[in-house]
This record gives sequence, C-alpha cells and structure tokens, in this order.
Amino acid sequence: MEMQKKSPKPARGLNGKHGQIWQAYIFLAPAFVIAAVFFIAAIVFALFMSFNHVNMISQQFEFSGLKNYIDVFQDDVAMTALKNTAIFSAIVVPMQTIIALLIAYALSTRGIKGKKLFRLVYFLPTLTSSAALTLIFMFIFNVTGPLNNFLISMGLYQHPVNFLQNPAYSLKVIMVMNIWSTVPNYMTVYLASLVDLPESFYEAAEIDGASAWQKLRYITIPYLRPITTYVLLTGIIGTFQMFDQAYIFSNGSGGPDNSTLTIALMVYQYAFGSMNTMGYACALAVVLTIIIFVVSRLTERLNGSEGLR
Amino acid sequence: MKEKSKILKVILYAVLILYAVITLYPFLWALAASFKPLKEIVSGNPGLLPQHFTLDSYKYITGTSSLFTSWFMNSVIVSLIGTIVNLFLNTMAGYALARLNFPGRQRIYYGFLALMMVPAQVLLIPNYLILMNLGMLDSFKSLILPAAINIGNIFMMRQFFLSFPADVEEAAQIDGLGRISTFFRIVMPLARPSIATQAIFVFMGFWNNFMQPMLYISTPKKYTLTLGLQTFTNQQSGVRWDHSMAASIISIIPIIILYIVFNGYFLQGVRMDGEK
Amino acid sequence: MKKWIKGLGVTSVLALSVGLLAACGSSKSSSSTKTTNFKGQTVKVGIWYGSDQEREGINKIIKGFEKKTGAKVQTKVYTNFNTQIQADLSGHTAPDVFYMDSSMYPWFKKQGVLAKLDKKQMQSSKFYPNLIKAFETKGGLYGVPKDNSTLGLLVNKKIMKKTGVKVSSIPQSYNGLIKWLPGFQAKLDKAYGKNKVKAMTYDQDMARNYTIMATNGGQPLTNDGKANLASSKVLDNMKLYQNLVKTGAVATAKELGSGDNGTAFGTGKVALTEEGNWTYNVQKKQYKTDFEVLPMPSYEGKRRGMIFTVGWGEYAASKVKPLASAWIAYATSKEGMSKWVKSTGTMPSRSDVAKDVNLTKDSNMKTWLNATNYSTVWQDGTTLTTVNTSYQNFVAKALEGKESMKAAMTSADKQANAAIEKAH
Repeated sequence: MEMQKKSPKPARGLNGKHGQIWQAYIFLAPAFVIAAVFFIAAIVFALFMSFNHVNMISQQFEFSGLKNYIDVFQDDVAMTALKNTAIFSAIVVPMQTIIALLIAYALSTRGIKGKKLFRLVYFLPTLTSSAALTLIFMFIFNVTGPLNNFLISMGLYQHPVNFLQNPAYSLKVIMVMNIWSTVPNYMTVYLASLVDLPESFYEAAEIDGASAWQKLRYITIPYLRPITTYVLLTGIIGTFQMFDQAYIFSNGSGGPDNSTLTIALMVYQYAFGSMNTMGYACALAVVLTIIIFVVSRLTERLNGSEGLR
Repeated sequence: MKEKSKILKVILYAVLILYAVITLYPFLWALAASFKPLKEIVSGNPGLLPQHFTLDSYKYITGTSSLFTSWFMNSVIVSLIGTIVNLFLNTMAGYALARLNFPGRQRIYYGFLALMMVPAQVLLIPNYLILMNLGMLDSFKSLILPAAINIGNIFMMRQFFLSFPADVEEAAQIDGLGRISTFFRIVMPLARPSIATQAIFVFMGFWNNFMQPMLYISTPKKYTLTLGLQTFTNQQSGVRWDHSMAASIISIIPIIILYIVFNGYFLQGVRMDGEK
Repeated sequence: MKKWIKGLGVTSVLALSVGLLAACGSSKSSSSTKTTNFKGQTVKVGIWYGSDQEREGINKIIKGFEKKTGAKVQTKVYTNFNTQIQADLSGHTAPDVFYMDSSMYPWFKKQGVLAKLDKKQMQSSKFYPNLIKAFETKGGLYGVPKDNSTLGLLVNKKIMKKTGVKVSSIPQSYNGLIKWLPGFQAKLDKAYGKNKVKAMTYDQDMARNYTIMATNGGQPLTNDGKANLASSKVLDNMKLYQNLVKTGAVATAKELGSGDNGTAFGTGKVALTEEGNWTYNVQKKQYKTDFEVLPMPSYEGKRRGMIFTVGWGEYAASKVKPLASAWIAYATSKEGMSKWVKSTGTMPSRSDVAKDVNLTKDSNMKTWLNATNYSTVWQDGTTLTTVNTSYQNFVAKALEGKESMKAAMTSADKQANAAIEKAH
C-alpha cells in the first residue's frame, strides 16, 4: 500500500517493479471510482437490506437476521425458479459457445468470399434491443404466426402448436431466442481474437497433413482458450440473470405454470411487487450471486487455468 | 487434397448461408410487418410480403410527437460520449489486470468479476437513491456515469491482452518509452480490432438501454429514443405490432449505418474479418 | 487493496445514509393555504396513456387548467408504472398527483403516500357512489375516479348474418349459453370451415373472473388478505369456466393466436367476446368491425361484470398541495371530465357528465354505461395483485383439464400465501 505514496519515477524507472504498481493504480483508478460509487455502494446497500425487513417507501428497515435467507431455502417457488434457470443455462451456454466458435472459424477460413456481408448479417441481432427481439420472436412463434404456417405447410404438424402458452414449450422458445441473439456477440469476440492467430501455426499443421477438424481441435481451440473463458463466464452470468425475455414473454408472471419463472424475474417480482419484500428480493439476489460465482469458478477450472494467469 | 478442400469449402459455405438465413428470417418478418396494416399482421396472413403496403406505421411514429428528433439526438449524444469514456476506462483497466504486476491483482480481478454477477434488478433502487443524492436524476449524467465502465468489457479486454504479443511493448520500452506512453501510442492502436469490437458492444448497450432512462429521466424532452418509442405502446388496445415493429426498425437503422461506417474506419488495414 | 475496497464501500454507504436521512427530512409538506392564483407554480402529474385519444384528452385538460389558474403543468408519462412509481416514491421524487388503479389504491393508502382530499372541493357527491367509494378509507377521501370502464358481450354482426343466427336469439344467461354454444359452433364450422372461427372467448384473469368467483358468498381472498382460491364456494363458481371450456366453443384469445380479446374479435376469429368499452374506438376505427354490445350474461340469476376505474391520487409529500388539489378538482370537474370523455370515448365517473355528453344516445355505449349498476369494482385489499399473479399462473392447467381445479387452486393459494407471508 505504501507504494502509492511514492512520487512517480522517470520513464525508465516506471518499468521496474515499483513503477508498475504505481501505474497499475493509475490505470485502474477511474474504473475503481465508478465501481465504488455505482456498484459497490449499491451492493453493500442491497446486502444490508437482505438482513432486514424493508419498506422502501417509508424507508423503514427492521433487522430480521437470517430470516430472508432461511425463507429462500424453504421456498418451493424459488427452487422451481432455480431449476428453470439452471436448465436454461446448462443448455444455452454450451450451445451459444459452440455455434459462435464454429461460425467464427468458418468465417476466418482462408478463401471464403463475402465475409463482410456475412458479418453484417450475423451482427443484426446484436444491433436490436432485447425488448424488440422478444416481440419479434413472439410474433414468429404465435399460433397463427409464420413458424406454425411453415411447419404445417411442410406437413410436419397437423395442428398449429401453441408455443407461447404451452408450458412444455415456453422455456424452450426463450432458449432458442437467447441463443440466436447472443451467438453474434461471441462470434465477433472470437473473430477479433482469431485475427491475431499467426498463420504459420496453420501452415505448419498443413505440412503435417492435418485436416480442417484437426486444425480446429488442436490449434484454434487451444489458442482461443482465454477468450473461451470470457465467453463461458459471461454466458453463465448472462443466462443466470436472464430477465427481459421471461418478463416480456409471461407478462411478468413467470407462467404458464411457473415454466418461465427465473430467479431474476422472481427478484423483480419481490422487489417491485406490491408486498414490501425488498429484503427478500435482496436475499434472493445474494444467493443467486453466490451460485453464479461458484458455477463460474468451476467452469473456469474445467476450461483450464489460462484464464487465471 | 484439392478435392477435399473443395468439399470443405462447400460445407463451410452451407453452414454460413444456413446461419445467415436463420438470422435474417425474423428480421425480414419484422421489416415486412412494419409495412403492413395491423389487421393484416394479426389476421395471420401467411405471406411475407405485405398485401396492402402502407407507410402509416412510420408516419404514426415520426409524426405523433414533435420530440422525435430530440429523442434521436439525445440517444446519439449519450451513446457517443458514453462509448468514448468506456473505451478508455475499460481498456486501461483490462490492460492493468492482464499486463501489470501489482499486489492484489488477482483479488481485484475477482472483485470485478463478482460485481458482474449481482443481478441488476436489485440494484435499481439503490442506484436510483445514489443518483438522487448526487443530484443527477433527470440528466444525461445519470445515464453516462453509472455506465462509464462495463465490467464485462474490462474482462474481455483483459482476456484479449492475455494473448496479445508482448514483444512490441518490450521493443517500445527499450526505445525509452514509459508504460503509459507505450500504452497510448503503441498498445491502443495495435489493439484496434478488440477496441472496435468493444466500441460496438458499448455503443449498442447505450443505444438500446431502456431500464435506466425509464427510471432516471422524467422530462419528455430528455427522453432517449428507446424510452420515447415506448410511450407509444398503449395499454388497452392490445399490442400494436405494426407500430412496435416500425419502431424497432427505426431504432435499428442508424445503428446499421454506424456499424458499416465504423467497420470501415476502425478496420482499415486491420484484418478483423479474418482476411490475412 | 482489500481494505481500500472496504473503506470506499463503507464511506459510500455512509454518504448514502446521510443522503437518505436528508431526503426524509426534506419531505415535509408545505402548509396548505387556500389560494386560487397559482401563477409561477408548477404541478407535476404522473400518467400513462391507455390510447392515443388519451394523449389528446390530457392535453386539453392541461390547457384548460393552465388558462384558469396560471400554473404550469408538467407531465410524467409512465410506461412501466409499478417499477417507476416505486422508485419515485422511494426517492421522494413522485409527481404531485398521479394515476392509480382501483385495485392498487389500498396499497398506496397503506404506504401512507396519499394526501387526504377535501370532499367538498372534489364534489364527491356528484360521482357514482360505487366508484368514489373505491377511493375512500374510514370516511376519508384519498382519490377521485377520472373515469370508468365496464364489460359487455360483443357480438360480431357480420358473422351472425353469415351463420344465419339472430342476435336476439343469443341466450342472456351463462347456463343458456353453455347449452346454446355447441350448436352455434357447429354452424360456424359449417360456414367458415372447422376451427376457423370460435364461438366465444373468455379470460384467465382474476380481474375478469373475480365477480363470478365472489358469487354466492365466494371469497377469493380472506378478510385478512390471504389467498382463498381453493375454498369450496369459489371452486363451485369456477365450474362455470370449466363448463364453458367443455362446450368446445370457447377459448382464450391467446389460444386463437391473438394477444387479447379485442384483436381476436376485430380480426374475425371469434363471434362473441366479453370486452370493455375501451375497445369501442379500436373496433370502429382500426378493424371497422360491425358489432353490437349486449349486457353481460347472468350467472346465478343476476348479471355480473367488472368495473375498472382509475383515480387521481395526491402525493402526501407534494410541496404544492393546494395546486395539486386544484388540479384534481379541475380534471374531475364537470368541465374537465367532459373534455376528457369527449376525446377518449371513455365513460365518465359522474352522472351529470354522462347526461351532458349524451353518451346514452349511442345504444352500445348505453349498454356499457348501464353495466355500472350491476358490476363489481376491481379491488380487494393490498394483496390482490399477488393473488392474481398466482391465479393466472395455475388456472390454465385446470381449465385445459390437465389437473383438477381444486389441485390447481391449492397450488395457487400456496404460492400466493408464501409470498404474502414474506411481507410480515
């Protein structure tokens, strides 16, 4: 800590050990100030509320110990929401990662024409707000919507499927929508990194007679590992916090039959419902954060330690 | 060998085109719907192309409120300033976390990661109260400052710098450049592909942001485009697919133009499209 | 490093707490002195738009009020009312007056955010008694209804003509309908092809089903606000919806691929639907539907429907209370309300305005207006929305026949009561 107080050294000295510490603080300071005011303070406040019975409007905080946390674990609905969220994440994260990687690999292959056009097309979903996207998807999956018309005209179904109201389908529709709209993000991230992959790696492999698959398996994927860590972790965080789509889809209820209820939606219901249960909402959020943290660490480990350097 | 690479190419093209179709399909429907009268959209007419082509939805959206231009400009101002600030702060922080040695680096990295994991819904009211106490409600500052960093992008930049070649920096340092000038003169220009990627994400984030303007901005003249468009959704007359699709299209188009421009500007000489 | 983070965190929280205290302290209201000249003052009104016409209507009231008092009116348009108003109330930045739905009134009242209004100033005796009562607590007035909406049975005349069924032959009771619907559906299938046009739509929403559920002493919510959906009387009443669905001629609008009844009706997917007067203009202008409105069918010997009403509430922490009260009084006066209903086509909450704007000359509007006499206001304590969310979540399964109504309602009760429990 005392390094901070030392005066800056001349340029050469900056490359030394002490200089680096000092520079690191300069580089991090602006981000730190913002994080402290708008993230850490807000989180500490939320943590405080999770141990209280809160009435936000009259600003009354009544200490209730661990009651909110005990309630979380005794709440069947919370368990259903957790199950939905976990299933959602377990399917969406691998799918979005694999598709993004494959498309990025295909796009970066030598000799493919029209790359710019492909990239522009692929990027469209990223350019659209999730509210607009959800509306578009609900329109497509509607009972009388284009998809049902298509399936019936192909002879795959006799009667239109009620994708939106049938509990057996509703979460799956949201999964498809989520994968579809997140793949372009991750594909772009992969592409930006693939640019730096030295061509000589591939050339050497080709001399050894490696197939396209082998090049992908033994060169591209290992090279991209730090980026994959990023994709997996942000994927996990994003899916565990999935809110917009479930909210618009179910009109905020998490129905039908709790099939689209996610933890984030539940947090919202308890925070902004008419019940003065902000404390419980915060406890749920804290539990969710811990779960995300644990799952992320596990994934990071499984993906190899490069991300932790 | 040649046969084989031809087959491979066919497969790759097939994959790319199939995925392009999957991506475009919903957009074409949305685009088509924005030119249809409501009656045609909701009656489940199976055709993609409008039977009764109309510009009414666009006229409705641009014509109902005289504030449309200011909403659009507000969005541009907030998104541009927000993006520039973000690019510097995120890249600097990501660089420090990846490249500089200092005590507690690992802990700070995990601290940032943990911040990302807290669900946003629960921070809405605390942040509202913080902004209120800072006297920033109903100003563009309330939209820019809390989003002046993006932890996801700090994380992304860190991962980029982890696999970024170190020899360039070393060469610059041998030439007597300090870390800080190396960073601004050498590292940032070289990291253009990643920074461009980040710029697009951050810009999109600001452009499409809805929750924050909805809570923080109360003067109609200061609305951003997303918030302004939202005021057209009426609560009782059902979902106006025609209006909401036209609104979506209107909000996408400036971004597409910007994307194309940026793509050219940032990527000059940089092989971001994977072309070597 | 870790200590530093902690240090920063604690400082910020301290700063925050100080700020909160300051905010609490500053919320004292100014003393109310009766003035009529409000020149230079501004009143902030929190509203939402139910339709385009409402935008026009509110602007007319604002113009009238600004001219009369010299004050300035600033609107805040809510697009996600529950979230936004709660943030505003928590931050003590809520508008001086704001809309509140009758179902939410008990909650606002309980939070202590509503100022008591002067009954005389608001001319409370001029309003329909059941509407003004929805905003009264222990004899005090805390809100004034700006208008109201009721339900009626809409009939698509074009479809009736094509099937050769006379509108006058439609039964006036649910029991009659249940017997009549299958035959009518057969005629629809013959005229349009199978499954093309449904005979009738219904809703899976307590806001619509409440009056049926509460028939014959049914209590969907107990007196202390617990969910009581699985109680025997409520279950008896729910049989009505089960029987309607069993006819095979009744579906929800969503099952027909429409977002709501009005859309399904306007696009000719259904012949009969229970809908409110807000759809009047939509049907006439948007869909150009040829329709007629019948009174709600009777159940257990009496016509029953719902009344939806939104009132103006005055923020207890407003700094311009006299002006805020003057706004409410004006907006709900004969003059203000006439401007409103003429623009919006909604129904006034005062009988003198109803007479004045000649609503009764339109026979369809008259049917909706008369429904005010036999309908129930959508309101039942502070926990109603929580119970309704839970109800909507589970009722579909029972109505589709996948589960008994008793089992579904028991699950709904359990979920709602668990949520309600947490508030204590």
